[in-house]
Amino acid sequence: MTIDLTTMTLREAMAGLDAGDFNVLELARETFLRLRATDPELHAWAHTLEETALQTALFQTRARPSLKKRAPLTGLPIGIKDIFDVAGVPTRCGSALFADAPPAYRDAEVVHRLRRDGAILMGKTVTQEFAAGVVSAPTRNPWDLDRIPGGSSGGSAAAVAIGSCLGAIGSDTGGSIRIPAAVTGTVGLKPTFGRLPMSGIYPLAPSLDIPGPITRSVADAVLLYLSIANRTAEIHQLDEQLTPFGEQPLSGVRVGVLDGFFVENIQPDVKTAYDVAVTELADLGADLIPLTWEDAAVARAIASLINRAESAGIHHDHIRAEDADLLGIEGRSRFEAGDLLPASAYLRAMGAREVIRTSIARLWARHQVDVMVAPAVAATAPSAETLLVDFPNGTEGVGQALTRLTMPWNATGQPVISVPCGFDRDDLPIGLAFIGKPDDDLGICRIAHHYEEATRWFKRSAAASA
Amino acid sequence: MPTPPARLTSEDLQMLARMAGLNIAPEREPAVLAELNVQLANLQLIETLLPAPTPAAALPYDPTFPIVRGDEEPIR
Repeated sequence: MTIDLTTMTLREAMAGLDAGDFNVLELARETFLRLRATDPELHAWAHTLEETALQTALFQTRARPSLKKRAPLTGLPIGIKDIFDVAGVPTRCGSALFADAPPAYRDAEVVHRLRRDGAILMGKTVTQEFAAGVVSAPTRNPWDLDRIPGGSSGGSAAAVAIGSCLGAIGSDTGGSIRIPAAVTGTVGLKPTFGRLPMSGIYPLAPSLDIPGPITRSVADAVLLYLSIANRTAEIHQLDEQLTPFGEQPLSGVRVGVLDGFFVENIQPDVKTAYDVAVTELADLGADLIPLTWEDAAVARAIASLINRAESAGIHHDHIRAEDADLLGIEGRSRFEAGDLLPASAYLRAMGAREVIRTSIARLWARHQVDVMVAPAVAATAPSAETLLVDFPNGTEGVGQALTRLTMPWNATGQPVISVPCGFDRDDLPIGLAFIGKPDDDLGICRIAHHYEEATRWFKRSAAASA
Repeated sequence: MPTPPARLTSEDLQMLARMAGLNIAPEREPAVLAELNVQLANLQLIETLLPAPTPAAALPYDPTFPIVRGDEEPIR
């Protein structure tokens, strides 16, 4: 039996189970051993489900041969961000305000789909309080325990990076899947807005929220995406979804290379890694088209304002409650500021969002690209002590610094996948964003998969650093 | 050319908070004020994108489309 959880992907685990190298119970036990060994320092888990997970694993060990056709995720250990309902477990949303939350009555719909497809739920991963922020305390970054894992799905990303689960589910409102994925060296997919069910997920900003997978590889992200998108049958054709485009893996693929807003005042090592990644895309056969999206800064402003106004609506009662002091200062300040914005500001931002969507659609049509690329995040993992990020033009707080390049795509609702594309001088991971047309979630994954296969950054293990 | 964003002061914030029924303690005031001012700057930026209001008379009008007025008897 060989189970190396420091680098194993979901697809490798499936292959190992199929080949009889190990069974479901052995994989689950090994994963819990890894969790117990790493989590005292990493704090990626808010709640674990060892007893029920091992019971499920025991049953699946015997039943997997007959289950795996209709339940292709059978035996795969998965983490769930603690804003998603899991039947029988409290959804605490990382908040002291919900410390006494009762157990959820039923699974969130996406959790139900994963469970139906055979995934083993390891537990709930740490989230920034109510998914509103990028720090995800107390979780730390597996590549450097003095740094944050990003957020708000920081526990999910840290758990995948260290190997205390092989895949996890997060949510993205302003970058909460892509940011932690980029700064922990994992893969994060923000699907097209509005195409996945939100039932049983605690909302932050309903016109921006979307669930999605965080994994070690692009193929793994597709695996979990197909499950939560209720497209289970397609999992058996995964290899066909990811075929090369021609003689070279990306032959004839038109890649829009974003500059301007997306490369101004970003950390120099991030810029260097981006430039190298673009060269690598060309080497794989892609046609490069330099692009400037003049409205990107406004798109960010729109997403930010809508985010604050809608989250204030969600938390209207919490910030006025007698026990409002239980809210963390960051979340409470955001919700209060959002509460004080005039209704007209929100309506203007919603109106401008339509203009922005037209703007990006026109840019797409004018240049006829298959995908756009940009740095996923402007910086690598910030210090957990200072929560500040140094840029060429000055220092920024982590919230502004990490969401700057992610939020524009929440305004447009497009699918984006963040994939590792290198490391900075401190050996911290850097992410590359592949941005697609709405509903082309699998198209960007196919392109990103071939970049990943050629560069193999995803095979570097955080375990060596932790 | 957009006008520079108005920056709210501590007094402005407390007045708005009273109207909204919020209790913003002094130690949290800087964080709330900073966030609110960021959003007002965002709004200023957003306004640069939106077209100026079009006079109603200049809008294309379809004479077959009934005009609904609030002061008339509703159709039963």
